[in-house]
Amino acid sequence: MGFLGRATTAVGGLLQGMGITFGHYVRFSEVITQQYPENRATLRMAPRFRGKVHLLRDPESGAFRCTACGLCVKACPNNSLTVQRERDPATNKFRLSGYYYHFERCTLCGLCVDTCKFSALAMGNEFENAALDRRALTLRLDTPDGVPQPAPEGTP
Amino acid sequence: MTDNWIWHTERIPPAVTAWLTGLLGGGAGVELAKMVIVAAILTGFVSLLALALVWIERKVAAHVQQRLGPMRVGPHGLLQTLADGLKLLSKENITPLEADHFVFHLAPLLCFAATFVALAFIPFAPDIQAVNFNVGLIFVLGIGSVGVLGILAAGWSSNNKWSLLGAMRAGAQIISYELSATIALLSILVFAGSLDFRGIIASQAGGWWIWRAPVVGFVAFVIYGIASTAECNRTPFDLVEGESELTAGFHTEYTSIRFAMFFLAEFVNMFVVCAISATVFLGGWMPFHIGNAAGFNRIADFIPPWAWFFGKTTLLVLVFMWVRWTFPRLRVDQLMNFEWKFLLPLAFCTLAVASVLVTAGWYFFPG
Repeated sequence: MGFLGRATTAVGGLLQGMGITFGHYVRFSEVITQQYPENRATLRMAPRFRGKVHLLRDPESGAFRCTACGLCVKACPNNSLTVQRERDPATNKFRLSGYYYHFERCTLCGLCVDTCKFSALAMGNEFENAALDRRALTLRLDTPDGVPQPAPEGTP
Repeated sequence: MTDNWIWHTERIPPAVTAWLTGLLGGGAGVELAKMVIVAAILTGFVSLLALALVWIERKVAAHVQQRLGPMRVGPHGLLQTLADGLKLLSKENITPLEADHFVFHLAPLLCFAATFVALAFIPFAPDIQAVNFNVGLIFVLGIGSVGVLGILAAGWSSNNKWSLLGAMRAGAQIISYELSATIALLSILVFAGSLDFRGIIASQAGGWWIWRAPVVGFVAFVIYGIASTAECNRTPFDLVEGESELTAGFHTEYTSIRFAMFFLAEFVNMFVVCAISATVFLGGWMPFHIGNAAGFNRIADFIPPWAWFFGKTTLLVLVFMWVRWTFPRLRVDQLMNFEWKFLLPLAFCTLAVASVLVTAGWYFFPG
């Protein structure tokens, strides 16, 4: 390609770049910045944001998907998960009897979610997690209504 | 309705002169009073201009990058630059230990004075021009080079090798690109036949030079735009500041009001460059007219001339900002290659073609 050809390509590239930025500039709806806390009610969160760990339910039976296998506990680098299990007297299989989450130790790395074989864990979108007492951050996740509750004192 | 001083700004200076003569009884006092008034107006204008331009720049930058920019101080962050300015003024004024004190303190003044004086030659509207003389354009171009002296002095006196590097880059860059800028303007001056801003605007009564000079006008406009971006040290030619490599270059060691002066000079310089471009290529305060379309021309005339001037200049300023936030910085050798091997030859070709066109009368509405 000769000099003029290269010059034309260069100018074309520059104009293309200016076209892209002009598009961003005139389309105000593309703005990503959010005016927190004014827009708390309409806050848009990124779907892959890593918040607190949640237990997921099976949509058909409504029961927690967790089988209490304990893989998440092994994967956790900070020892922030505790799974208590018991034998179901009818089927003689293990079942979940207490899922405790030490949020004060959690680094939100997501290894528990990656390692779960039953897709029973997910990370939520909450980010306003400040608490006045660290005891309020030790949570029991397998509550009947699905809302994490502070675990009692002395939880492992 | 359009027969008052808002549309006929050429009536303002005589009225002011008459009022001052009545007040002071004539003599040298009137001239002195006029100078003081004009200096005060220009100072106020420069301050407001810098505040507005910084705010616009930040907003443009933000929206180009899908952000919102300043939003907290005042509605849509309008008072943000005022707050920043006050913060700058209240900071400690630091001089490096081994700095050359006299030159170090002089440099920001030089930079600021250069752009401030250039502003005095810009015709904002008919007869609204602080100084007018027959080689105004040459004078403004010359004054623009004094700003480089300020940058060089700042880098030299800071006793900091990065500042010195930035200043040397500034010297090399601005002197190189000034050639292209001047030659691009020259090729329009050949058409206009005048070095006086008034004459240049008067020559565009029949149409703006950007389109009346066929192709050449547009090419010269683009060359001047590129070269003046380099002269203003703006991205993609901001090697002088080179934030990532030189940490702000020549003004690294400056704080407080001295830094504010460099900042002010930078933004006012951009305005001056855009104003010159608007005056030479886009007809200054001349309204846009289409041949015999009387209705359209009447609507165009209904917009006052100063609004035309500021509209054109603002448009160019916005393009400058758009370019700044789109392109990355060049390398020093690319910068020099571009100027000496591409832009300058192109500018010379433009000048040659322009001369031929003028001699042959091959442009729109000659005579």
